Amino acid sequence: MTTIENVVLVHGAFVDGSGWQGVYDELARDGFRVRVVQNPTVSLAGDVAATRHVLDALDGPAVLVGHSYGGAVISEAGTHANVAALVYVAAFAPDKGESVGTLIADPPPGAPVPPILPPRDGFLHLDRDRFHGAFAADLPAQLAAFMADAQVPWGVDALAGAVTEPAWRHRPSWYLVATEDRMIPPPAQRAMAERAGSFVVEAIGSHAVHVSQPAAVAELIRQAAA
Amino acid sequence: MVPITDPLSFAEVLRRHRHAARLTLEQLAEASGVSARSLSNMERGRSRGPQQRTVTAIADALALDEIVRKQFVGLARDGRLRDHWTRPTGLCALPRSVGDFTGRSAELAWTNDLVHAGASPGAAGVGLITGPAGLGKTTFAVRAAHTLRPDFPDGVFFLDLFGMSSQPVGGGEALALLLRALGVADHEIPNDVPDRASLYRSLLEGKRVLVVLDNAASEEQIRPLLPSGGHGRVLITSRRLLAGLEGVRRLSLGPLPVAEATELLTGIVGDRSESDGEPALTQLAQLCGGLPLALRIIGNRLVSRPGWSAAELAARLANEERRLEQLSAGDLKIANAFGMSYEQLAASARQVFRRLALVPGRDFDAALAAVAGGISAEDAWDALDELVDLGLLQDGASGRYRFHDLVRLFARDRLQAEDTAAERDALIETVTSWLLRMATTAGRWFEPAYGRPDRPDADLADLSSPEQADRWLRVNVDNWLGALRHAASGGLHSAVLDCAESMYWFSDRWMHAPYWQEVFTLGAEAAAALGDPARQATQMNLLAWVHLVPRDDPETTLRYTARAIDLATRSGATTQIASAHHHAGGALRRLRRLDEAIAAETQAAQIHKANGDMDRYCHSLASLGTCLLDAGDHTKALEQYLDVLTLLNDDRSGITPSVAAFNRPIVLARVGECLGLLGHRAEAITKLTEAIGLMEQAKLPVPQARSLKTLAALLADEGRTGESRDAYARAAEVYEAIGDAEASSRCRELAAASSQPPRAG
Repeated sequence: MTTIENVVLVHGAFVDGSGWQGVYDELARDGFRVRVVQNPTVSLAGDVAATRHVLDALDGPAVLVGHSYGGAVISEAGTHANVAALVYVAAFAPDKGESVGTLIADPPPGAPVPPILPPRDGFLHLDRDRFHGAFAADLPAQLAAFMADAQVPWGVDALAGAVTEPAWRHRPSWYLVATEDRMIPPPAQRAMAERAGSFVVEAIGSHAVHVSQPAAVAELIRQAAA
Repeated sequence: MVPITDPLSFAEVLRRHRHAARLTLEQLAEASGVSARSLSNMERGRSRGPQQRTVTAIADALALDEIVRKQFVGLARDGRLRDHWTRPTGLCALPRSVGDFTGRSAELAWTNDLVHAGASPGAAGVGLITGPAGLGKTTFAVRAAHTLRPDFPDGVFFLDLFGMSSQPVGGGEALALLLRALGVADHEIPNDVPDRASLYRSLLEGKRVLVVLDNAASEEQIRPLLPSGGHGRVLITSRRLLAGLEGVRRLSLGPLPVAEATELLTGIVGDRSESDGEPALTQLAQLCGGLPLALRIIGNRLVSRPGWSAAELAARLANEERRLEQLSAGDLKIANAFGMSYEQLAASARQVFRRLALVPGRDFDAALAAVAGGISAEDAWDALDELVDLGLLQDGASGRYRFHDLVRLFARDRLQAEDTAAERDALIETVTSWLLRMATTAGRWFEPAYGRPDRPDADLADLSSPEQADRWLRVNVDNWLGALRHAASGGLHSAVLDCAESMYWFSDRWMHAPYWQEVFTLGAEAAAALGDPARQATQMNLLAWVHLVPRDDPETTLRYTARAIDLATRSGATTQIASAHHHAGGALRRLRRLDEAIAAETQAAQIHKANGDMDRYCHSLASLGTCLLDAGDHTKALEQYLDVLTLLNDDRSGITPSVAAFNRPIVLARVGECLGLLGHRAEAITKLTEAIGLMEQAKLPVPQARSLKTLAALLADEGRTGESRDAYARAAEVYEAIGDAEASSRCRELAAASSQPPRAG
């Protein structure tokens, strides 16, 4: 049995790839070759291209990991020949024709509404004053404040980009549910994971679970690579 | 074994010393640093076994002189042990939850949701708590189970599967333990793992039971222990995700957040948290990575050595971390925390600590610790107390101690670094030899030719009764079995064979233990290596017994008896030839090959008779009777049993009196059974009634239950309905007492089916 040695990490909306530092450290120590995609989050097509660019350069199969909106990116880019397994971390897993926009269009009653401000010049922002509570409640206030002020604007085209052929229909998938997520409701995460037939692990964590619990995320990636 | 006069309790002695020192509770609290409330609890006997450091502080404050102080400390230790004795010792009992459990509210909510979620398809109410070592998975699962207890009126059970040890509990053994805890008697536990699993599942389905399976090793181990829907729920902890298990909800347990980690640490250090200050404690909590195990060890370190401040300790830890930053984060934090405590131990305690890593079993007592540490039992007690105080060892039930897996790894690492290979080898040899000699001595308590050893080796722990020998063998089984394996792989054939032979009679007392096949296989291999076919034949016969009686696998039995006959014939060991025929007879009878069985038992009887071995001769004749009874030849069976009875009643027959006394009521009952089958009901009733009386005196409930049932049926046939009902009711009681619930309820139904009202009185 050959195990997978490459891991490609795709970040989500409002953040950049530096949030993967903890996961990167865990996996690099184990000998994985880890690449972090710096996807611009302007459009889904652009992010898929950025991810394929990284995948093209690999010498063998990889685990492709997406956080949050990054889940839509890996669902579209994951049909790449070098992708052997998918890992969703508190992420969207759209089906054919679905976009993040359609998935969040009808939130279940009572679900917390993410504090996304109305679009400005084609970009969305998170209300910086509510960033800590909504996005990263389990991170220290100081770090959350930095992330709020360093946030990357999210293009409305990225939100609207529909997946054409979901990779989770063709690749085995793993899913980490963040039980205290106030951006993507945990029941929605569980439903998407079940639809994709993913192997599910839950962690008590905020939407920024990849920052607060890198060990749990890394363990699931190891499992996907085994 | 309970002393008739109870010595003064720790509570009483504490109060007397305090009065003698003319101190109030508050004044003693002030002087000792132990809170007045704790002191009051001790004096009222509510806390009978305070920890070593507490007792030492009180002794200091009372200025006790050396002798009095020693007694005082000893009493507290006894109290701790007694406390353990009175803890719930039921099978698979849930351990106590730690008093200072902190945080984890979202995780507790998760387990609560899990057990209350309806049994939807694919979700059978099984939760897996996963994460690396030291995160407090077990502590959390125990806490969750206590919280959920009201929802599980049929019981909450806990089983440690020892997933990280070299010998995890096997699925079949785990099932046997759980079935026993669920009220199934030993002899009703099926032999096959699939049969055990289906019985377990059916019990779980109908009961509101929560089972905590702690420290699981693998999917194969866990799979037979899972429910299949119904009311039962299971919580598993494991370092692994056990990806092969389906229908399981998984929770990845994380480290404690800084605030909760600080709160836990603050609670452990108690009063001194004020002087240490929150910033220093927060920094320490961060350096421990939010890992509860590291927090406990660092906290205990602070408490036991008041000279160091939290800030100083934090500075040292931070330094260590920089020095070793190439190591993995979690393991490093833990190893550093352990190191802080290890370094402060006296050289002798350090030596005991690291050498205990070589103990083969899962836990150990002070006697074994003394052997491993190369110190006196007295010094071992002190070292163990200190190690428990520091959190480096856990004290379990009945004076036994164990490592957390990570601490054992740390100890092994220290042993590797600080002792030479020659020292380690010598130590392993010492421990192995001691364990084997202990086991052999204990086993021989049950051998008719040995019994109490005349002059046991001076270094062995004292076993002064068969009960103690029995207990030693059971609680130390993984230790002496580990030693036996080690000795076998090292070619110590003589010691291995002696030990295996010493278990001849003891294995019969503990026949449902899963170890015997391995023990006697190692014994047989040792005998082969020694070129001793006679002794090898004995081991083969024991293996035949293992497969015939506890395992109920007659085909395999016959393979062993054939080998035993071959080996014994070559060496002229006639007793072993006869024993092999006897076991073969039993196996053939199970296979319903009754003619062959009768021939085999006849041969066995002839050889025993020729040898003048009347005890075994008598036994073979009785077995022959059973074969004839099975074959439907009631007349011949009756003759056979009457012959045996004549022998048993003859003082000059050469049968050992105790053997005769044991067999007489059993054979008498068989005579009664045969008479009944031949239609001589009145005579049969007389014999059975006499036999049942003798069995009552001799405390032989298993044959007694069977005889009562036979008697009840005969009485009913005679139209003596009231007496029949009474006999069935009594049979039901005895069956219940031996744990055969099914037979008991059958007899109860038969009693109820009788039409007449019970006799008055």
